[in-house]
Amino acid sequence: MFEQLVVGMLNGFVWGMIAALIAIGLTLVFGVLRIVNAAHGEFYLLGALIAWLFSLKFNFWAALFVAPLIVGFAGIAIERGILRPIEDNPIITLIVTLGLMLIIQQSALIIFGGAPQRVKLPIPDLIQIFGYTYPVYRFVVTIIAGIVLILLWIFLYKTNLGMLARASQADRELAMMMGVDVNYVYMITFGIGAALAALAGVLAAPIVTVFFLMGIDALILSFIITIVGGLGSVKGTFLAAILIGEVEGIVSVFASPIIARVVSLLILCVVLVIKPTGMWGEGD
Amino acid sequence: MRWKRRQIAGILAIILIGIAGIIAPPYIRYLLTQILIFGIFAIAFDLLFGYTGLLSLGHAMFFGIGAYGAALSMIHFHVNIFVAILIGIVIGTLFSVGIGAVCIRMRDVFFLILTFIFSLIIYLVSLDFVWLTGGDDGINFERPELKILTFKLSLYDEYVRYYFVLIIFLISYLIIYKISNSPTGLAFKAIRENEDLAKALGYDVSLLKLKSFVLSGLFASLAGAIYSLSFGYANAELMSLDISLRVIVWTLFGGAGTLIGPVIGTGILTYVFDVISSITRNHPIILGILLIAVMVKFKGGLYNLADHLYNLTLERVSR
Repeated sequence: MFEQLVVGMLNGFVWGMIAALIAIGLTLVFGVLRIVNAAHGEFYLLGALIAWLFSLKFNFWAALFVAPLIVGFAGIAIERGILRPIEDNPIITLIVTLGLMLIIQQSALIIFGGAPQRVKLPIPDLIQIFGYTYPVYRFVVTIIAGIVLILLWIFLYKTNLGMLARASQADRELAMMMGVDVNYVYMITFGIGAALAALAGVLAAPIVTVFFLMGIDALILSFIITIVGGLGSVKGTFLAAILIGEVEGIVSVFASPIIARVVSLLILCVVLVIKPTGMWGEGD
Repeated sequence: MRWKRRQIAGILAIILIGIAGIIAPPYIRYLLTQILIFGIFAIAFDLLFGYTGLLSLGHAMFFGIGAYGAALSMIHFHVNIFVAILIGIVIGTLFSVGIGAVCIRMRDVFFLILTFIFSLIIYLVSLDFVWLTGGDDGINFERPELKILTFKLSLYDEYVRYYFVLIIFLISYLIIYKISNSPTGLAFKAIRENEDLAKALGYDVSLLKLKSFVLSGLFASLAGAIYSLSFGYANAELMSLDISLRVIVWTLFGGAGTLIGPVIGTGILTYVFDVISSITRNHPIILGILLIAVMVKFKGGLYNLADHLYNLTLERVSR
């Protein structure tokens, strides 16, 4: 029992780190652009699809760099082409991105087919933990995700552009008056958000099955995480990701993953009743 | 003058739909039955969205819960048609009270996200609990006929089914129409126009929102119950995101906040979708494009467009 719990917690932590990448992308885009991006899960799907293609034809590790680049630029194109006129109205952006979600999802179905695909573990080594074999790859995933999160923190808090992004988040008009090129900041932020989701998709591909509906699953999870953590708050989103990841990891030891998701939903309800702005949110 | 015109148009439409039940070919009759059921769903949605200004992204959950409530009670407790409908409504309403109480705590886009999460998780649960719901394949069931004096109400008879659905549609429409014009309905509109002002005027905004949510959930589950009873099956797809998004498109396309607009939108788009899905399996793409189109380009909806054109021609003629 104890051994199972430890493995469950370990799984939960790995998932929490991957989910943090996806959810922080979502929260950044919402905080800065006021876009609730329902197509965010599809960036994760695209990342996973690229990882699958690369591991078949070329090299899995290359996807780690290529997927965020491709998807990041695709995100920028979507932001400039479709979302620019409706930014700052979260409700309309949510509906429009839902439309985008369906389009990307169905395109993936048409191009790649509906069969679930498995990606071979890029690091085949296994280690023993309390009698359970555990893939080394999952530790590597955690380390890579951790490095990316630290880089993101440096970007947001130690670079000029990151400061401008935070300024645009705090007050768009004021930032514009101070001469910030808000449109440029928006473009970069959306690109980074999309790239983070794609990176999470690449990392997750060998752990989960690659399937055209996987984006929805990621979207639900990251919505729960961002609301529990406080939508718009990067730190809150990270902490909530680890929390929800752990909860789902532990519950999954005893019950099916779907029950674990229901438990997360209940946590969300409790948090909302106690503190509607989320556990680490900064108020309305 | 305006009032009279609408009255006449309404009665004409009812007569036409009534006659269509007899003379239409079976395919059209089947489609019309479906449209009337989805029409109930659309007006239920319009009460919440068009009148109260609360956009639910997961309204199919109540449709699906109503459908399963009626289906499962008929399978396991062998109740008659009306009791099955009642059970479907009661279960759907209970769910809408619980879910509504949480969702209305959040404003604006957060309300949308919450309804979205709830409906998707309920959908996933219904896919997973195959022993109860039949999952993706769903459940088929027998619908014993009900004797009312000398008349046999059998939902296997497509004529009986058509008029049964039509009558329930008309009753639901009338009730929701009455609600929307009652003081409560006007208070709903006040919330839609300016929530803070409504609060300042002394309205209990939270309670009114919950009322609107529950009423809408009630009629959505009624529509679901009639759907499963009419066609003898229920599956998880009935509460999928696909259906939730369709009702939004129907309503926006027809014109939100007009009650009859969403029904017209439902009629046109259900037919269009039926045609499209017979051509391609990837019809959600069309749904996606429509969603973007109605949101960005087509905000007033068909009804307002028609109304606008009508008034324009009227002005020209009278000049």
